[in-house]
Amino acid sequence: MSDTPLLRRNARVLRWSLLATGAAFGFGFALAPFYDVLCEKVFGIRPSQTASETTACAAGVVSDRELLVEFDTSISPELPWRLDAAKKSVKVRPCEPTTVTFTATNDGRIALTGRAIFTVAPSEAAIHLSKTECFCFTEQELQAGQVREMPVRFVIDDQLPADVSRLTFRYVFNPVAKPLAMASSVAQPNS
Amino acid sequence: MAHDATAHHDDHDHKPHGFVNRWLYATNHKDIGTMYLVFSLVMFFLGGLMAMVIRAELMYPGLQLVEPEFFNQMTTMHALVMIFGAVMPAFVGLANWMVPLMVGAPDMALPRMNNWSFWIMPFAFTVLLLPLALKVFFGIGGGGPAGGWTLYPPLSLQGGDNVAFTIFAVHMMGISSIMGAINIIATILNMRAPGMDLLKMPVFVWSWLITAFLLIAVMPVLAGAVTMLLTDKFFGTTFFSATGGGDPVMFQHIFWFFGHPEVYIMILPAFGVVSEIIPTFARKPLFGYQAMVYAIASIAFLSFIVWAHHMFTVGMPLGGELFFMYATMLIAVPTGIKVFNWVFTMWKGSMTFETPMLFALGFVILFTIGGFSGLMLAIVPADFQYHDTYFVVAHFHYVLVTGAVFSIMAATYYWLPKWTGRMYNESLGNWHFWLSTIFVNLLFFPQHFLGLAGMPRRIPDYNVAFADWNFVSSIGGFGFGLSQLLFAYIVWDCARNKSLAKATDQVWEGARGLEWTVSSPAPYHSFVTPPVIDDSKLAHGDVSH
Repeated sequence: MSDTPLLRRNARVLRWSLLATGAAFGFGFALAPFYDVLCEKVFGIRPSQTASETTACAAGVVSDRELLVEFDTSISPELPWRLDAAKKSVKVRPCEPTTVTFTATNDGRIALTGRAIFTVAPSEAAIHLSKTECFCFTEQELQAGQVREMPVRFVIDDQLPADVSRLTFRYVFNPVAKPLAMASSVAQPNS
Repeated sequence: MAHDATAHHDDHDHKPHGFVNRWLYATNHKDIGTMYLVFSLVMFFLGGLMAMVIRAELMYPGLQLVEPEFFNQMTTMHALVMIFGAVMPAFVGLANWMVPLMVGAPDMALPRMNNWSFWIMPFAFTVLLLPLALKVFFGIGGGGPAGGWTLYPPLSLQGGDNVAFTIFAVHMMGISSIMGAINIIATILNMRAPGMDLLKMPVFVWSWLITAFLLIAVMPVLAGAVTMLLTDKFFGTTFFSATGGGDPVMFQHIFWFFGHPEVYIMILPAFGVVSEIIPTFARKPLFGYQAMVYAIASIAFLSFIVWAHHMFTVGMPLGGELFFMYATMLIAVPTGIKVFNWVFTMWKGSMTFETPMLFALGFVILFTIGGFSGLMLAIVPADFQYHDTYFVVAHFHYVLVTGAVFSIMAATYYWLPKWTGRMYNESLGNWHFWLSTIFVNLLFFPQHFLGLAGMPRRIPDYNVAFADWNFVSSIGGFGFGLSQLLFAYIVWDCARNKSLAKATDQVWEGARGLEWTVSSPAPYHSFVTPPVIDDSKLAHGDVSH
């Protein structure tokens, strides 16, 4: 044992253990961005929906491999909206930019803001899919009765695993949560 | 501040006089340990009462006694109360009482922080239980949290005001646990008597040192996860909400990064307790002391890289599932080392079967059953079938009730004579063990069958096909619950009944270690001057290397 007085040694343990506690608390929050990085770099799943350019298609369309892309839409029950794709599905080739138009209609009596969540199945395809334009990037505000046509422009790169020949794009519109949902949670009975 | 009428005029211990001075301002490790243990016993009965409601409702198919919403509150609160209120404080209480005695320290390193970490607990549980109590007793509000103890969003966020209560209670429990852990680390690192080297410490002390590091590493992560839940619900953030770019599955990853080390926080001290008791009653040193220590450390390390086996069905990539499956199965190696070493310790020993030994033997056998069902659950394709069924419920109750809780009872019987200075009623202790063991198996073993047959967890009603085994399980539940009243009586009797036999200093014929060198009951202030360490009198094996 060292000659350092006990109180100082105890204070030292207290100091580094409090530091470790703070670091662990920070680590919990760091897991949030780390989760996205891990999904994309290790497992090839891209959870974020921002626009991205693919670099794998520099040579343009080179294969005549054909992919079927299907569209699926749904709306949260809290939003009196409709969302329709111009076509139920399209046939595309890798590296071929494609545009599909979606139409959103607000059937309600008041203006509402919604945001669409995008998912692609199978999930391995996510990393090979680039969207340069999508209504899912931003919040959409629709006046009562308003109809809005919204193009989605995407390209699938030629690195897509060979066993994937069908992709499903799914859009779900949700109402945008008001900041400070406290008021609504107090008003709603807990059941 | 009333003067304590029962205070002895010939008291040489210099105990603080009066209830407030003695208990509210407590800084003595023995007093704080006692408070932790009593608190944990109260919570054990409260959580047990909730379990009785659950088993009463599940005794027959159909809804008989409670509303489904209230049933869900019972399952949620039962888990929170038992994990954070009963098992964890009981082990902290044992550490408070025994660690200074086992390493030859006069007290814990940070006595005032010790006081604080205990006294946060009653307030934390008041906050946790308040919504439920208001609903049950006064019909106010919507009751307690009902989304499961794992607090998965979005379900857990749909609970109304109790969400905030639950989250703040979890914060407070976390602060208490972390302070307790820091105190234990400081005590073990700085307060050991000269000559008590790290690799001469009793395995119970080792298990707590490692557990304390786990607590510091993961309790703050839980605090972070629930803070994100709090801001998601009340401040418009979207960590776990897809509508703002978040991901509810991420909560499960963060939660189980805490949650899996947490289950080892509840079992490593149990390993320590059993490693003390078996050598005593086998009258042989612990077999493979160093292997036991390294096994605990390996389990602690592995606990950080297996969390996603709790969530195999969320749709992880195959590579992830395989990694977490193999890493999980790897834990069977150090755990197997421990189980075999306990068996080898008993091999050719002169065994006697006093109550602590009975509970320790029950632990070794029944915990291992829970370990085996854990291995079954680790197999990804099998887990897809077992996930969220009663098979999981059976598995974790075998490791937590017949594992952690049995070891706490074993520890209580083992050290009770040292605490009170009297021998508890041995034949009642035997009764308590046999009743508990028979009923606990009647309670949980049929749940394996129910789970394999497909009965889901956390439901108040079920298909009539599951009726028979649920009835058996409920009978086991009521029997196990009632048997614990006997435990409370035995402890109370041992603490109060002056006609019981006086305990010797060594208490048990085969007991070794520093805690058995002080008188029984242990004096209020012990090891004021550090004891001389005699290697031949320590409890474990190869200290001479």
